[in-house]
Amino acid sequence: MQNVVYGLQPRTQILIVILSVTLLAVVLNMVRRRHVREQYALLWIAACVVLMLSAILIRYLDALSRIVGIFYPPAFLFLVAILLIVVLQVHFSVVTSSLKEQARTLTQHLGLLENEVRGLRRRVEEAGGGLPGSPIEP
Amino acid sequence: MPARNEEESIGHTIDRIRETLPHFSILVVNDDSTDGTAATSRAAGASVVQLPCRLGYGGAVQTGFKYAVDAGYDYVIQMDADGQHDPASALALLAPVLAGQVDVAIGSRFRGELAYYVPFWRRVGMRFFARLTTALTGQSFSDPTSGYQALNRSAFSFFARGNYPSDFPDADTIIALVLEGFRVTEVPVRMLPRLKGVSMHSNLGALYYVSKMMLSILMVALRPQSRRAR
Repeated sequence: MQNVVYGLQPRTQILIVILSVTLLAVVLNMVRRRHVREQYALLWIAACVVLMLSAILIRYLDALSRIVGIFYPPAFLFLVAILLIVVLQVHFSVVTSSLKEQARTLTQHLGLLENEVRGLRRRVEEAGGGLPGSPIEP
Repeated sequence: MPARNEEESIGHTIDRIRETLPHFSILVVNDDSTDGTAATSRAAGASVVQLPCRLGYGGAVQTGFKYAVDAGYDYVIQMDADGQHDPASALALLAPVLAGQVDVAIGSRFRGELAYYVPFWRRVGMRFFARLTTALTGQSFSDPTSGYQALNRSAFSFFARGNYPSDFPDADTIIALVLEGFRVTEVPVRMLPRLKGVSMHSNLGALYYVSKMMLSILMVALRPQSRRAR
């Protein structure tokens, strides 16, 4: 068997840290510019921190990784990153569902309101009052 | 007054406001309550804005500000619907704003009479954010989470335009005001224990709240300010 070094090279650790920090900076800047809400950024911050710590503390995580049968540290890091992505996806499924629900409620409300406005316009016009044009279809 | 499922307290709260401050218009922003909050409020003589979806305290309060902007009001007093904010302190709160000395007056329960007890850990958290707010604004604040506030048109228009955090008024809104050039002060007010119902803070995980608040404060400090306050 060849003499292979199993372990994470320092340069790999540095790469992961740089990527995590860059992602963190990008997300935080988006929050600053109001493209992302604070509460969603919190999950991204937690994910970046977990990934960074996994790379830095790989020596201690190695034992854990061997227990689950992964003997190649970079593979373990991939697993961590994938799990983090999955968690984020689940979270966003929840957020999207909530938005869909809100959109449904608002649409229904709007439809009912428009109906009421149409009725009111008809009453005003029948009573002889002139009304300007309306964005609602009669 | 933002309100959600406060039908047990809101009638009494409105009655007390009407007897202490008869010349004030009262608006209840009903944050998609599942109980009779709206009907009770209307019966007590308040105007009600019905929100079709649940926005949370911040969203409801901002709705109130938008209403005030559209209707042409000059001053807004923000209060809780659960009766904790004593209407008798309202005029004292409004006084410096009315006099033009400040744009926003925050009612602090820790400067006046402390009529009730705050649980230990909550008190620790509040003191931490109070100190942080004091440090970042250069002014002394003892109760930054207070929802009992008086604002002039300039200030509530600023919030109506979109600078309000989504959950609760807090250290971040105060810091945002100060950085934007608004004059803010604290006025002692009397707060009473909750009449009935559940506190809106009871479900938030403490860690989530602290993390979110720290991030929000950081963002407020980093965002470009237009300084349109004057």
